[in-house]
Amino acid sequence: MANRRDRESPPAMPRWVKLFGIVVLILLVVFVIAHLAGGGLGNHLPSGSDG
Amino acid sequence: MTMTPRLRKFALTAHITTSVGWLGAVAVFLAHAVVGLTSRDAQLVRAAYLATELTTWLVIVPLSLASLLTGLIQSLGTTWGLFRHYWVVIKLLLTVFATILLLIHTQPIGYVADIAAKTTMSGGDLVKVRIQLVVDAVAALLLLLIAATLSVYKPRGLTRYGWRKSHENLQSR
Repeated sequence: MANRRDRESPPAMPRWVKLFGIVVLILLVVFVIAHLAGGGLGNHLPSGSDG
Repeated sequence: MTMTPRLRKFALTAHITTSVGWLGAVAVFLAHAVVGLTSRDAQLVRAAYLATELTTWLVIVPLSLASLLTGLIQSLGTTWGLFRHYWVVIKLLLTVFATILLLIHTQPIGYVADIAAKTTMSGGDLVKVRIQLVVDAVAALLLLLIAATLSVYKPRGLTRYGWRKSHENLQSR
């Protein structure tokens, strides 16, 4: 009965996918913060004089 | 629609060569960007940034689009499917994301190349954008390395959709 129930229920998300998702989320947050802070990594083109 | 074995091998060959070619081309771009940023030789800096633009439009952009297309063909034409396995879904997302970022960043690449062609850039000119080119190339390399690793290792994990599909196939037998 337990085996049948297992076969009928979809599998849980693998741990490696969850870990990957967490890492991506952290990187996205860092990326957004860097852009909002207007740091050297944020601007694609210089707005004014740039060195 | 599942491809014949011969067609599948052809599609796989196309996908591997374009994907690995893309990775190699980004490594070359990185080398040019680093030289452009660090060299004190004005001629070398100019050459490096002109090369980054050429490399981008003539090699990297075509290979990235070809990699995406052949990847789609590979997944849709085989039993792997596009949404059945987590490693395929994540690889697809990485490839799409990398391609979009690449297309966005052609603008600063062209801008720096344009300036390099017209003027002699000193060490402090456009520092932020030039650093950006290096950082972007490193990020792209990492993304592509992760995609390549997923392709080889194919870590296990059926999505809900994939599980449903495999269930349907079992029940239809």
